[in-house]
Amino acid sequence: MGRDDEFSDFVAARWARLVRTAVLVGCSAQEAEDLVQSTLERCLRKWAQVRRADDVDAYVHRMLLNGFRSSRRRHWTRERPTAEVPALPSTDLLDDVDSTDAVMRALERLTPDQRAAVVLRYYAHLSEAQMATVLDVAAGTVKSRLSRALRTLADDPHLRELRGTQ
Amino acid sequence: MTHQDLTDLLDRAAERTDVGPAPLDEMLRARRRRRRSWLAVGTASALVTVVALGIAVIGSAGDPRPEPTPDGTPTLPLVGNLQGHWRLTAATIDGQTISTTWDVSWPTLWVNSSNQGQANAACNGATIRVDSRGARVRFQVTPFVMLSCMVQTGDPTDGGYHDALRAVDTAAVTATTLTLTGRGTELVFQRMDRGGGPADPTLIESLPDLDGTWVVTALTERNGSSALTDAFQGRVRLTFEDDEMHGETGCNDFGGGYTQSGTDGKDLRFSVIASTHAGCVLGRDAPLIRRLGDVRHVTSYVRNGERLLQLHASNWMIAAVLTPVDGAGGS
Repeated sequence: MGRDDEFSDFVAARWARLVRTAVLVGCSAQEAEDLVQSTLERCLRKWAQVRRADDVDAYVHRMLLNGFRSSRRRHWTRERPTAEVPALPSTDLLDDVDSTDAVMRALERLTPDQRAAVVLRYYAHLSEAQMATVLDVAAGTVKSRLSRALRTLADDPHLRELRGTQ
Repeated sequence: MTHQDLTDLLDRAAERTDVGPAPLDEMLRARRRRRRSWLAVGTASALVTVVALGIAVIGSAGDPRPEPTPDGTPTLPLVGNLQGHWRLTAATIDGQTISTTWDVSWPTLWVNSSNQGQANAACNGATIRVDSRGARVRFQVTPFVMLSCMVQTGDPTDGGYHDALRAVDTAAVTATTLTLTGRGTELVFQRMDRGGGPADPTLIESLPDLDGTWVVTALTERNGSSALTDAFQGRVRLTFEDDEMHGETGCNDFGGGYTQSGTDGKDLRFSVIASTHAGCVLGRDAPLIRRLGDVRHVTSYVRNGERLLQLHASNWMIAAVLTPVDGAGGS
């Protein structure tokens, strides 16, 4: 299997999950697609290095988060006006929208590091060891970030309400 | 909350994001473009070396531009996805990174469906044509204005924008950004016409506030030449108040209406309803009224704490630059 084929398979398997991971860590949907595209383009340029990595998923998530942090250091990712109003969901989806909104608001209450930790652990399903690699911190730091984040989320009234409706 | 609860909530929230198909072809093309770019640099270096050794081989054999047909359109496939209005937000030219702290006018690029358009930086404009051979891109740049602005509108490239475009040989496009790269050059643009907007809202305001009196400090003709002589400096004014507009052209007064629209308030049209016709002692009236009829857009900037307006024609070429009098624009 050639490099392009391997890369294509990798993208087909991970694209949607990576975009949604980017959304959960704080990107808009459009930003998320741009971020994942640029991350994967960088991966492709050094594909030999990526596939030699002990843990390809951890490697790619690390590049994704680094790209996200870099984008947040640039000015132009701040909120900006738009000429096009996003399509509104139909009314039968409002419950989902409410729950999504509650989850995103709850995530916004976390620090960026805690938010990344929660998303990587409970959405991307990385192990704590993988997370330590992705976040470039000690395993103990991963545990403490997760622990604090979970305490904050447990106190969130909107999430508590959501859990009550589940 | 159990870990499973949290996983379920995150899954449900994430599923609400509609994800488009992966732009796999675009990613693969970007890598090939980059490889070709490096190949081109290597080839150019080799050619220079050969010339240095006295073997004349350069000529024009490497010119990738397509031969135009008699009607002037290129014969090879063109790049379609550059179309739109773009604003430069970061640049490296001749290996030098341009400061992102410049304070007023950001160069723009406009590409139409025929892959022609304009590249404007402050008062300097050029018509452009984008040609491609495969994934390789070339900009043909023909300046139509090469004058200094009546006020320093702060071209961050210091006149180097058009040469930088000529150096470009690859383009990478995402939904909101355009990156052009070439010999020692990287130009990063943000799309203006899909909500891309300016780079820094503290410098380029999202909702231009027009109220008040403004002095017209620069006025350009349609061909880009200056239409404001020194004799008229400070005498050409425009006032917006109570949803009406009135002004002085230098020796005549006029009044009329204006409409500011668009979700970001950047669409602007004037309707002049009345003007005096006094003879001008200075011989020629500043053609403000005629140029106001060409105005389609307005952008507002903050420089050193002071607001400044730029009135643009439909192609975003700057028609006039206005500075405030007595706190116009809310400053």
